[in-house]
Amino acid sequence: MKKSITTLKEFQKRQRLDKFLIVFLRIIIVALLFAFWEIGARTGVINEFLLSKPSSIWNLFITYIKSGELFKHVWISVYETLIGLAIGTIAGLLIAILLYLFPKVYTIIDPYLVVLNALPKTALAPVLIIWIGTGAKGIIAVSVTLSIVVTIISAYSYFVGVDKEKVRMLKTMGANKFQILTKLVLPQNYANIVSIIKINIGLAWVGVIVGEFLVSRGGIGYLVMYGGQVFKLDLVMMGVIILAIIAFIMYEILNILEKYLKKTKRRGKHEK
Amino acid sequence: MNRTIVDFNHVSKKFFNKKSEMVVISDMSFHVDEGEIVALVGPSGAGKTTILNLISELLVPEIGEVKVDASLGYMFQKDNLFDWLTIYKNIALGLSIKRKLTKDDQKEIEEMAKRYGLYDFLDYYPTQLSGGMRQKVALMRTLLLKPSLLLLDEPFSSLDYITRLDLEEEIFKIIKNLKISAIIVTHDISEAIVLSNRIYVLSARPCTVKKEYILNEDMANARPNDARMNEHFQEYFKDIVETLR
Repeated sequence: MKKSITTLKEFQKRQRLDKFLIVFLRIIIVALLFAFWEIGARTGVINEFLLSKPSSIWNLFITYIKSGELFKHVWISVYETLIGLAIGTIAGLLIAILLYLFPKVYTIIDPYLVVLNALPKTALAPVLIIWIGTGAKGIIAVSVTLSIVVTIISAYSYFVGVDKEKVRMLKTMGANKFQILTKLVLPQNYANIVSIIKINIGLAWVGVIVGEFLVSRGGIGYLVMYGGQVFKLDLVMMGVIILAIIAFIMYEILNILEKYLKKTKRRGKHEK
Repeated sequence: MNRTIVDFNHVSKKFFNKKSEMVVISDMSFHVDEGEIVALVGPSGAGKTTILNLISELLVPEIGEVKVDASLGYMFQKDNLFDWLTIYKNIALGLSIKRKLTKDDQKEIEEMAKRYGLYDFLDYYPTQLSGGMRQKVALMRTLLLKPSLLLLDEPFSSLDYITRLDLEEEIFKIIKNLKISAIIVTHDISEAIVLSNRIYVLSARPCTVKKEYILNEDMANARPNDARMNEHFQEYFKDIVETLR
């Protein structure tokens, strides 16, 4: 039977213990996975040619760090992703705002947006790269096409979804459409905009990796592609693992930023 | 004789959708004089919100004429407070749409908050307040705009009964102190009787005036809690129920 908690100290202790256990188990899961992988590959249960093994991935990782190659490729991809993410999100939000201010325009272009959204944007990637060039610009363009349409559509539907009563209230106070936007629609959708950015991080990465597959000059996508072509599976695996880690870091940075912004908002602004 | 500030002259209002048209208000006439509290009582969905939208000129009638000679202040069923703004900023919302806030505005808000017992909560957020306090904040937000006519759209219907009685009392006092007028739209018959000078009982859709009640002096001037105890309360109540049926 579980012992009941009688004091705050005990409660806090229990909470800390729970938290520690969760983190501990998470680490154990990864450690076990890698251990089985390594042992499996050494004993021949796992085909090392197809799956590589942690120790050779690690060795390759060290070689790439020593030569400075790794940072170069990581930087190229991160740079392209950040720019793609920023352009896709900001432009998407701005367009959604314009459509909110001019709803007739939205009604007209609605079917085109739906088609664009349903279309696998990666199919456009080769054309975009031919048009814009095989450098970072082309890759960023691919990344932008992935996030911008879905940003427009979801932001717009969040915007028009605000409480009609509150809109009516602002109207009776004499607010114009722009004031309704800045006083109600945008602040109300703060959390939704953050979640759009979170989704866009993933999409921007897809765009960048696809772009790098096609252009094959640098970046993590290039490493993965090259590794696959020459059957160096440890290179492929290294690329994928690094990708996972960076995506996680970006996501966490956004989370911390969100918490920080919430805190500053909570501070009372009215001095007495 | 007091000045007429709202005048509905044989007003009709239709709404259209793809396949049909719907008459929401048909040949409706009523008026509100300065200093009066007038109640519009009718079944839910009769078109009461449409009437308020006509008064605030968010809608225009097809037939007839709506004349309004007053600055309007709205009180809604929901308090419509913005969760991301402090109580202070919520109160200032209406004013901040019209112009930049001045030092004097700030002083006025603080004094008003003191009067209504909300001063200590100015830095709080709406989620930290009870339903009755939230509705008071909404009232302050409206009063700060210095309306000469309050439009009350079932403002108490989401509150618990005791809070509701207290707030009815308070709003009645405020309206009388400020010497302003009010239109209260409600389906609560007792609320209409205790708050108002005159009552228009409305029919179901299409909405029109079924009957007008002019309350006697005693009832009209009594505070809500006293009016509820008045000997004539029951008579009015019964009569209005009959008319609504």
